[in-house]
Amino acid sequence: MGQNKASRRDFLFKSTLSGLGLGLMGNNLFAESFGKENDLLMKAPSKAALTITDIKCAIIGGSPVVRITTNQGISGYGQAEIAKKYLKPFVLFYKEYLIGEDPTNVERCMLKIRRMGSFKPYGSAVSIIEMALWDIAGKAASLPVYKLLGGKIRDRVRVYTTAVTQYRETSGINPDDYAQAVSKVKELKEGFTIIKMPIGFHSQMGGKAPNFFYGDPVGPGNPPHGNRGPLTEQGLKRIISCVEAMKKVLGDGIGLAIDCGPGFMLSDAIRLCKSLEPYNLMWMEDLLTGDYRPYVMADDYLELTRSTSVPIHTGEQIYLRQNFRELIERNAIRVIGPDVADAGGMAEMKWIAEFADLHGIQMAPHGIYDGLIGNAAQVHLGAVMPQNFIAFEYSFATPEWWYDILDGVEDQVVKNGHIDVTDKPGLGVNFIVKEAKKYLSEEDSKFFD
Amino acid sequence: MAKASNNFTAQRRNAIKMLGLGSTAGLLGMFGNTPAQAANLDIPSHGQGISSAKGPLIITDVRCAIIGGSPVVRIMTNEGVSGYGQAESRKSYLKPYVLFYKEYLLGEDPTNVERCMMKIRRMGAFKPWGAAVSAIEMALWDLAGKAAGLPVYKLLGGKIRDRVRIYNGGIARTNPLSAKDTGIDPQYYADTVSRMKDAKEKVSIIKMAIGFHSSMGSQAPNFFYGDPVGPKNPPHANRGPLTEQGLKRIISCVEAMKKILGDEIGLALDCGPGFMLSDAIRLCKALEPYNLMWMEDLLTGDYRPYVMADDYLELTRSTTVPIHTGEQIYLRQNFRELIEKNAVRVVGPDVADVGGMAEIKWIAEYADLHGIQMAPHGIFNGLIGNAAQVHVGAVMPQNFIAFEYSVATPEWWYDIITGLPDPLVKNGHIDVWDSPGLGVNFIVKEAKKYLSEEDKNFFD
Repeated sequence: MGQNKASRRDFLFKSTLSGLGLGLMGNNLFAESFGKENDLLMKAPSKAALTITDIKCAIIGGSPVVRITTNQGISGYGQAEIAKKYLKPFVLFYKEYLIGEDPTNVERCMLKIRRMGSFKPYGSAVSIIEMALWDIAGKAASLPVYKLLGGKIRDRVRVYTTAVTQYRETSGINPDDYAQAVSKVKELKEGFTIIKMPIGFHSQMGGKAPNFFYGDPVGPGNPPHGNRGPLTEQGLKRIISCVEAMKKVLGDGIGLAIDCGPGFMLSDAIRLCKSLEPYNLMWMEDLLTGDYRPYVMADDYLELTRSTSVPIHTGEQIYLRQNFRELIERNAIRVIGPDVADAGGMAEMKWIAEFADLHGIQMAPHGIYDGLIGNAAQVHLGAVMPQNFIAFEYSFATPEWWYDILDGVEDQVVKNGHIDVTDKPGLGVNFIVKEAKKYLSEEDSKFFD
Repeated sequence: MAKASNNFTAQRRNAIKMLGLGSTAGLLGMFGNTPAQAANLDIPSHGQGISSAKGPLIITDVRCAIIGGSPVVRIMTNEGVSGYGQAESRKSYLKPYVLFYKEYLLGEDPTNVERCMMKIRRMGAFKPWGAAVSAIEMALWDLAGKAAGLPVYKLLGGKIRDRVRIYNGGIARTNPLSAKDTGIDPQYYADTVSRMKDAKEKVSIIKMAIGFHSSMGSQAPNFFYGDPVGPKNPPHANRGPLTEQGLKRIISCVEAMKKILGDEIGLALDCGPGFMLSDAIRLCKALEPYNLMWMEDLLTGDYRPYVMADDYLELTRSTTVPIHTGEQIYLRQNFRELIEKNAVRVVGPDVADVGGMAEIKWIAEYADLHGIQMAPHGIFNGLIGNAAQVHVGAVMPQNFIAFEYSVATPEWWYDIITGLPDPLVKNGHIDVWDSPGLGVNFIVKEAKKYLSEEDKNFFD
């Protein structure tokens, strides 16, 4: 770790020196100085263009990691959801379009590949390539990425946590289970101020709770959240009682958000939201579509949103601003949750956040499985999003040895439910190559070479 | 025009030649600094963030000078770096409005541009009251770029083009057309576009003033049903129902211009404001055969503090002529109805009025999301404004047509600014440059000559 830090410092030192050299050696118009001002005697751009030389992808501990290498020794990294172990060929698909491009003109690179992505998971490769491009652009400029995205407007970024671990330790369908899970989260040293819990078709209720909906649970061998159908009255009451149990534990000091589906019928969703109004929930997420469904259904969400005071949330599966247009412009939703590793990348997320803000819609970005590099990207983004930002979904190391293979993750400590914004160049996290190599598969053994 | 322009060019070339005398040491020597002084200069490495060993970069002063009629903003910092912005040369009254924001910005980190803007953005409004905020934003980006050693376009997402198309919005002689220069008959229009077509800039798009944006409103006989307003008015104050003779006059002037320009050079028309909706519809329909680039500000625009999106929607739906407006509009919020209702086909915000560079880029992407094109206004923004337009033109999406370029007003502006390419315009485009910040800076010794007594400490 120490060695890695030393080499980065060395790199920065060298780039500063080269700037000075150029300035003094007659990079003429960039470096002249007149009168009393020495405005221009700053780091001049380096002469040779930075170009992309390779795009690599490795699956590290289940997480797809992209590495973009350049002709000047700088690499940029991006990371996608751990659930997307199959992503490597999709990342490499874009390689031929990017070789030889200047990675610091991020938008020009993205123009070449953006249109060849789609709804989750097919926007993921494009998104993490974008993340890696910003990492390079930041490192090349010796700036934290947030400075390339307009500058930070906050010094610490609020996170929310989805209590998957604590939830999985329970039977997952009874009020006691829910009370127990949120109690554990409430006691964590991170001091989370918002907790999200799965209920309904996003939880085990669909598969395990008796008489939960009018339909037979789909068997195993399905992607998650495959159940869908009309809710029974017992199902409705089960959800309400679980929410009630959680609110008893959390009070009004910690916000409660609910991840719900997809899978609810519109009329059930309306009835459920109306019933839950007294609990002042942060939001209800993905009731109708979302998750891995490749469609938006803005009209249905508009019906739901207009029917209740509960803030309705969706969007983790949505790729690009174009697919948010109807949701946002019709105010079909109160909160959106695009994922930086699925929506098209960091600049795309920021734009969508401003687009949402223009319509009074809040931001609560998804990202639980984006790993530590994804988390770093979320902190930079969270620093630049407008005041409609609530919090992003905190991601932790999976497996835990991820904390040992990255330098810079010490900056991701959660204090009072927030993460301080780092000023390190790029995304601010870098591989400790010697450690990380231990976890490379045979196929990926040359990833860091 | 050619003669006068060549004169500017020669002057500019001289200045640049002087600058290009090889080493920086030579330059420094010429202007009174020694190489030793230069070598002692500490190169800020903000890269380690703004929390470098040196401490954060912070704003120490916000100044404004009126230089040759143009309001210029200078934002100073604790590390000696300054950023500059410029507003329209017609806003020589802008100084107090710039200084109004000073207290909110002192002590802020200028490289977090958005955080600075959050403090002042809401205290602006429709043109001209968004100009100070916009010019300050421009200066903040200039600073952020210089601090990072990067051209501003790299802080706005990266360039997607290496040269930016410009249009000529009425630079027919040495300066933009003033009201008294404009004629009212086809021969005048033919002659004028003929000169513009032959100009060395080789522009691919020319915009001309017609109707209430030209002298027709006050000078053409029986042009509209109303009496022309007198001289003591801001420009383009005439407004009213068009006569049939007025309609035919405009059509014949357009016809005369198209005969000169053919289908090789695009023709755009700046029209008002002042047309009634029904006249605007009839006029556009009548002009459809000419395949105009756009018709601008027929209903509102210019210095009118409102948008009237529904009226524009009616007009847009009635014709194939692309309808354009927006130079007076401040902030994305005021573009919302125009864009989301597809009420226009082209928008023309001005970087020095709309809220700044990041704002205009955002609006360009917003317009692009709705199939609306960008042709930004900017004829009076001067050379610093021009530089800002090049940076934003480099990063706007592919809905970008061209921006309205600006020339030095007065001509000596070319002598006090350095950093622009020479020639500035080649084949109707300006090449994007890579020098830090906006890439244009004052030659302080020269610029000082033009400071008023009141502003004499501007560069100190």
